Amino acid sequence: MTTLQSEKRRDGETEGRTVGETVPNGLSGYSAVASPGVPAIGTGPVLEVRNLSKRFGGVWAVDDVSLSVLPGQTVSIIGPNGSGKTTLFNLISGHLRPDDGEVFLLGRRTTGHPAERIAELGVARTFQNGRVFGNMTVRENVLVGLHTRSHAARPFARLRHVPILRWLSLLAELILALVRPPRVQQEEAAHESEVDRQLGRFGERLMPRKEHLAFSLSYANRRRTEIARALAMEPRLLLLDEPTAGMNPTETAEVLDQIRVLRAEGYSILLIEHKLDLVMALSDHVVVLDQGKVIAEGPPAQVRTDERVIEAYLGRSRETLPATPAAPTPRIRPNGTDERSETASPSSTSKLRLEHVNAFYGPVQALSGISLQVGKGEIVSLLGGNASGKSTTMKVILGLITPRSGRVFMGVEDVTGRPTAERVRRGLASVPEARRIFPEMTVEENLLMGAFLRGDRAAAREDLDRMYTLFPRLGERRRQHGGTMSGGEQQMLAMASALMSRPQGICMDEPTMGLAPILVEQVLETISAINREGVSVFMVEQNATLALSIAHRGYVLQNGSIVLSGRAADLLADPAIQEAYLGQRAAP
Amino acid sequence: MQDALVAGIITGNTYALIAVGISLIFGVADLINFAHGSVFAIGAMVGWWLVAKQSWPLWAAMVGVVLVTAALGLAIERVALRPLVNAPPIAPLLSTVAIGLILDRSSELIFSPETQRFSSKLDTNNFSIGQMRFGTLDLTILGVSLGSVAALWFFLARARLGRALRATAQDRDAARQMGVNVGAIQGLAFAIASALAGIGGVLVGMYYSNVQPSIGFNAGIAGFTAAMLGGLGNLPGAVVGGLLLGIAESLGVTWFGGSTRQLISFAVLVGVLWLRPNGLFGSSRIAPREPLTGTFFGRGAAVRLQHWQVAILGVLAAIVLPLWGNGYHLQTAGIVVIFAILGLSLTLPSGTAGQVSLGQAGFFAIGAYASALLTTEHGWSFWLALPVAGLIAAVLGGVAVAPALGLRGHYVAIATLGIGAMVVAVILNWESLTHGPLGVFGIPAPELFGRSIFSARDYYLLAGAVLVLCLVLNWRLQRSQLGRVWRSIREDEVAARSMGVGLAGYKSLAFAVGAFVAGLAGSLLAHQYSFISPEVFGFQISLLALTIVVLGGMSNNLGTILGAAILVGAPELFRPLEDYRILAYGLLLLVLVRFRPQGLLGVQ
Repeated sequence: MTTLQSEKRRDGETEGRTVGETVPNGLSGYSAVASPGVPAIGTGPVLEVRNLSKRFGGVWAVDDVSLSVLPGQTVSIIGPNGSGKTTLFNLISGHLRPDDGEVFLLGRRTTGHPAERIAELGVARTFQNGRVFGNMTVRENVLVGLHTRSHAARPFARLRHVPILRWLSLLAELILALVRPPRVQQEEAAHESEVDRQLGRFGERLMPRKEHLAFSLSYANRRRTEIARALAMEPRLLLLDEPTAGMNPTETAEVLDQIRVLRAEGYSILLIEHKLDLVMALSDHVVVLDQGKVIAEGPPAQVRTDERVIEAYLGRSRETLPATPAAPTPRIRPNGTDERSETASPSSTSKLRLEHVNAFYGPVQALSGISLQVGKGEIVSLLGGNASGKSTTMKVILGLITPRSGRVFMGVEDVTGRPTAERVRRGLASVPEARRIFPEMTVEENLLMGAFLRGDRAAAREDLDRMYTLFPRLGERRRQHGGTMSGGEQQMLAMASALMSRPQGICMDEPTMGLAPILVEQVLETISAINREGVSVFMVEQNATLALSIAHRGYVLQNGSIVLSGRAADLLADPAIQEAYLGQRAAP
Repeated sequence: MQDALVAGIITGNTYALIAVGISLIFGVADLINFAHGSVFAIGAMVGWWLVAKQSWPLWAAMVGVVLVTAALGLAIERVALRPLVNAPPIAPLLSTVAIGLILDRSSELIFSPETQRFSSKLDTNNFSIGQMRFGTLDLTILGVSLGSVAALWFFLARARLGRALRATAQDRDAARQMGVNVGAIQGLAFAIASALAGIGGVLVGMYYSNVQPSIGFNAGIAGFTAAMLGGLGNLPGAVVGGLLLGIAESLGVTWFGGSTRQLISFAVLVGVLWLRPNGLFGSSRIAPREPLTGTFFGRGAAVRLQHWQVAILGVLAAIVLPLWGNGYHLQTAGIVVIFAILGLSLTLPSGTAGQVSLGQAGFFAIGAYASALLTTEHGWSFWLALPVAGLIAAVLGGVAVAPALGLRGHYVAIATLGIGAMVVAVILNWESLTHGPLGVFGIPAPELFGRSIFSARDYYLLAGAVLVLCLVLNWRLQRSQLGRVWRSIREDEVAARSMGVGLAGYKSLAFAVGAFVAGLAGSLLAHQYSFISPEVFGFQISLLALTIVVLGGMSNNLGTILGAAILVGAPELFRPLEDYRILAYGLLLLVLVRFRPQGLLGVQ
C-alpha cells in the first residue's frame, strides 16, 4: 500500500516541494489501513473505463466510452450540454449502473458497485450543483468526508459488507459512539486537525466560516466546502464536476491555482469543466464528448484546435454562409457601448423586450442586467456556452421565473410578473427545451394542448389539418403517443404545438439540441418557414453557427451578461464569439 | 367462497374509487394526500345524514355528497398545498395529515362518534347466478362506482380540461407554457378525487349498512395500498389494484376471520413498497418516482438554551414538582414524561437521520407488550423487563423497517405507517401470545428495595430517570461521528453515499435505536396503566409522537420534552376541553407547518 502511494507521488512530482508537507497522506498511519485488499498496481491506471454505455429511454446518454487516468494525471472531459459528461461521472462513481462496459479502479473491477463501496475504494467526487449538507457546519461537512477514514470508530471493517454480520460492525460503531474510548477520541482529534488542513487550502475563504452552516455560505464557498470534503477522503481518484460553475473570474483563477496544487501533490483527477481556459491550463489529457460519444481526445493543445471540437461546440458551418472569418466590423459592439443604436434600428417595432433584467436562483445570480429585444418578423438568436444563462432568459420571457429587477415588455405592454397564461393569450408561444412534449399523449392531443387557450374550436380543427399538411409525418402518426416518436419527430411536434396557438412570437429553447445533422437541417428550414409567415422567433441556442445561419440578429451571453450583440452575419464572422465559448486562446 | 368473491369485487370497486383519487392527486401534485381517507369518511357521514336525517332520495344525497366533498377537496388544496409550494416536500404531507385529523374530529363532533345505521332500503339478496347471490344494492354499488370511473376516464380522454389535467401531470412546466393554469388544474384534481372518495364513502356505508366518522383511516390505508399496487399515478392500475385488494381481503376474511382484514391491507402495502415500489405494472428496476429528496424542514439556527436555564428547568422538574405538586399534577407529569420519551424515540430516526416515521406506535406497543408479558406470565422483575423490552423493540424495529430503507420522502412515511399498523394488527391477531383484543391485565407496578412504586410521585421520578438516560443517549449519539453520518443522510443521500456512507445500514441503526427508546416508553406505559390492549396503540399515537417532535423542533431533545408538555400535559390540565384535544393537535400541526416548520426550538 505505502509503496503504491509513494510511487504515485513520484509520478505526479512536477514541482519542487518537500515531501510530508503537501503529501495527501500527511497523517501517517491512515493509508496503511485505508483499503485492505487493493492490489498494488504500480503505475497502472488509477481508473480505466472500457466501452461504457448507458441508455435513458431510447437515447444513449453514454455510448461506448473508453478512457483511463494514470496516477498523478489530470484528465478533463469537455463537451456541449447534454453530451453525457455527468452521466459518465455517475457511472464511474456508482450512482448509476451501466448498461454495458466496465469500470476498473486501481486494477479492480467495480462495474455496478454501489456508490458507497466505490467511495471506500478511494474515489471522491463533487457535484455540478454543489451538494453540501446544508444544515451542517463547514467543519461537520468535512468531517463526514472523513467517514471512510474513521477506523477506530468503525471497527470490523471486513464484516461491513457481509449480510447480517454487518450488524456487528454497526452495533460496535454505535457503542463506540456512546462510550467514546480514548482511541476514538484520539482519532477524532486527528480528524479535527485534518479538517483544519483541508480548510486551510482555501485560506481566508473558509477558515473564518468553519462553524457556519453550509446553507448560509456563498455559492463559491459551498463549492470550496465540497472540494475540501472530497479531499478529506484522501482519494486515489478525484472526480470534479464543474468546480468553477457559477464562479466569477477571480474565484475561477483561485480554483485553478488550487487544482494546480493538487496536481503537484500527486492527486489523480478527472475533471468536467466548461471553462476551457482552465481545462487547457490544467489537463494532461482531454477527452471530448458529444452526444455520449468520444469525438476527440489528446493533449489540450491538439484538442483545442481540433475541427470536430470547434464544430461540436459552435456547430457545423452551413453552406449558405461565408466560410472565411472577416475582421470584426463596427456593427458588432461589446455590450453596453451604445444602447440606443439598436433600439432605434428601423426594423424593430419590438414584439418582445427585456430591460435590465436581473434574475437569481437562491443566492446565485443567473442573469445580470440583460436587455434585449425581438422585432416584428425577426429571428433573434440568443447564444452562449453552457450555464451562461440562456434558459434562464427564456424562463423570464415566458414568466416561469420572475426577475428580481428589470422589466419584460410584450409590445408596449409591461408583462413583468404577469402569469404565463396571460402571455400565451397575448400571442407568445414556446417550444420548451429538450423537446418537452407530453410523452403519454397522442400527437393530436399534444397539438390540441397547443391550442389550449383558443376559444375557436372549429378554427383550431382547421389548424390541426394545416399542421398535418405542414408536417406530414405528424399526420401519419396522429394517434401515436408523443413519447414513442424519434427525437426529430418530437421536435416537429413541439413546433407544431407552438404554432397551434397562432402566436405572434415563438420562443424556442435549443431546438436543434441532440438531433442528427439531417434533422437539424429540417428543423432550421421549418423555423425559417414559420418566420416567413410573419411570426417573430426568439431562439436560444448553443450551436452558434447554426443559429446565426438563419437568424437576423444575435446576442451572446457569458456568465449571465450579454457580451456581444449585432447582426447575425457580422457575429458569425467575429472571432470574439469563439472566445466567448471556448475561452481566450492560450498565450503562446 | 363465491359470496366472498362477490363481496371482494364490491369492496374492491369502492377501494378503486379511493385509489383513483389518490393516484390522480399524486400525478398532478406529487403529493400523497393523507387526508383522503377522511374525505371518504365525511362523504359517508354526509350521505347518511342526508338520507337518514333529511330523508333525501338516494340520488339527491349522492349529488349532495359530491358537491360537499368536491368543495372539501378544493379547500384542502388551498390550505394544505398552495401556501407550501416552496416549502420542503414533507411540509404538504404533514399538512394533509393535520387536515385528516381535523376532518375526522370535526365529523365526530358534528355527527357524534357513534356508529349510525345507514339503510339504503335496497334489496340485498334478490338475485342469484348459480350459487352466487346478490341484490339490487350490490348492482347499484357496482354501477355507480364503475360509472364514476368511466366518467372520469371519458373526462380525461376527451374533455379539454381533462387533457390539460393529464398534460399537467406529465410535465408541469410545459403545460404552463401552453397557457394552462396549473394551480387551477391542481384544484380541479383535488375536487374530482375528493368527489370520488365521497361517492365511495356513501357506497361503503350502504354496503355495510352502517357508518361512523372513524372509518376514514382504514379506508385511506386500503386506498394507498390499492394505488401503490397499481403504481402511484397510474389510474387504470389503481382500479385493478383496488379490485385485487378487495378480493384478497374478502378471501382472507373468509378463510382466517374478520380481524385479519386490516392485517392483509397493511401486509400488502408494506410488501408492495418493499418489493415493487413502482406497482405491479411498473418496472421494478427503475427507481420509484419519488416526490421528494431531502426530507427536511425549515432552515434556521436552533434556539440554544443557556446552561443555567436548563438547570432551572431541571430543578423545577426534579425537585420542585415532586415536592410540592399534588397527585393529579404528578400523574399528569408522569404521562407527559412517558410521551416525551416516545417523542425522543423519533429524534434520531426522524430528526437526525431524516426518516419521517408515522409508525412509532408499533414499537411503543412492542415494548409495552414485551414488558407486560414478561412480568405477568414469566414472573420477571420490572427492572429486567424494562431494558429487555427496549432491546426486543430494537431488534424487531431494526428488522421491520427493512421495507422502508430503500425509499425516500413520502414513501418512507407511508411505509412506516404501514409497518407500525401491521405490528399492531399482528398483536391483535396473535391471540395465543398477546390475548388479542382482550389485552393484558394486572401488569405489576415496579418494586424497589421491596417497596412498590405506584404512587404518582414515585412513578414520575422513575420515568424521569429513564427520560434522562434517553436524553443522554440521544445527546451523545448526535454529537458523535455517527450522528454526523445520520445528519448527512438527512441532508443529501446522494452526497452521503459519495462519502462512503451506506444508507440502509445506518438508517436501520437509527430506526433500531429509536425503537429501543420507544420500547422503554412502552414498558413504562404498561406498568403505569397496569392494563394494555391493541387499541391503546392506534395511528393517533404515532401521529401524536410525530407532532410532539415537530412542535418542539425535530432532532431537538429539549424541544421534544417541551412538545410533550404542551401536547400531552396541557390538555390533561384542561379536562373540559377534552373533546377538542385532537382537533387542537390537527390545527396546531397545520399552523406549525405553515408558519414555524422548524418547531418551537428549531432543528439541531
